[in-house]
Amino acid sequence: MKKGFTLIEVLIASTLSVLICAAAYLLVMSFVRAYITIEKNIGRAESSRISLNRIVSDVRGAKMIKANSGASVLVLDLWGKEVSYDLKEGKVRRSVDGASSYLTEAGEVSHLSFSYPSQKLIFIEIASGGKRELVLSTEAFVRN
Amino acid sequence: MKKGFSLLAVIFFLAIVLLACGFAVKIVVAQMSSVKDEALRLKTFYAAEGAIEWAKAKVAEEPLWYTDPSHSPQDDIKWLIAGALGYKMSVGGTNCKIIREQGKAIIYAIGYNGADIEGSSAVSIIKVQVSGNPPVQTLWKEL
Repeated sequence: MKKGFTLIEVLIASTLSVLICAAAYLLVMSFVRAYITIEKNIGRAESSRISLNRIVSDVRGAKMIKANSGASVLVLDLWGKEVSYDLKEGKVRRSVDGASSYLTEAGEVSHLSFSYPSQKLIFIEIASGGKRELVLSTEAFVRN
Repeated sequence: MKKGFSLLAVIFFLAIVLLACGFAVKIVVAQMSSVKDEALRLKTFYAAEGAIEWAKAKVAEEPLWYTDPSHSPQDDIKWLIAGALGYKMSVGGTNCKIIREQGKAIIYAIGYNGADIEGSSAVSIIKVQVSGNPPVQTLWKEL
């Protein structure tokens, strides 16, 4: 009986091992990429949700919707303070009497629009950026 | 060492690698499905919230506005979904049903995806109690 492996056996085993390792590497990398994409999408959706909550909260507490509001900008009279919302360079911008702050990072939100079904009702639509965008829509009522 | 042992070893190794990969793929698929479900739930939730706001605006205009006669018991989800007539509307493409019973201060809004609530894969039901005019919310609950 011969001892050890033949050259052919070693070559076949090595080739198969390399192929299996390469396939496993590719699978693991696609797994990691998918995981990162999911995490990013969750983060963007969360940012959109937080921005939407903030806008709705301001609308509910506002005295009135100002006449210079439009489809891309919402201007509210928040009891003497002028609060506006719009999308600037992929970021949701909130301005209070001209001083701006941003509610999201660049690219987290791809779309923010407003429409006005009635004098005191605002329809708000926000979409998170990225390949699989999540569009959230709601309405808010100015109750004052 | 017997002939063919290397082949057996490779097959064993291959089986382990395939199992590990299968497990990893299963995790990703489960997570993607979970994210999709959460996205649907968020859409229906915000649509229901929007419908509640719409109803508040309607009640501010017409304080006696209602969609259904009074029903008991309260918070009867089966009745809200299937029995109540309600007022149907769409908020950003997501369907909603608003229910306000005659003479009651409670408004329900159901957000759902698809054509009918019963066949929907995501349903959000919000209950609010309002009083006064303009209506002030005194209770908010997700059923």
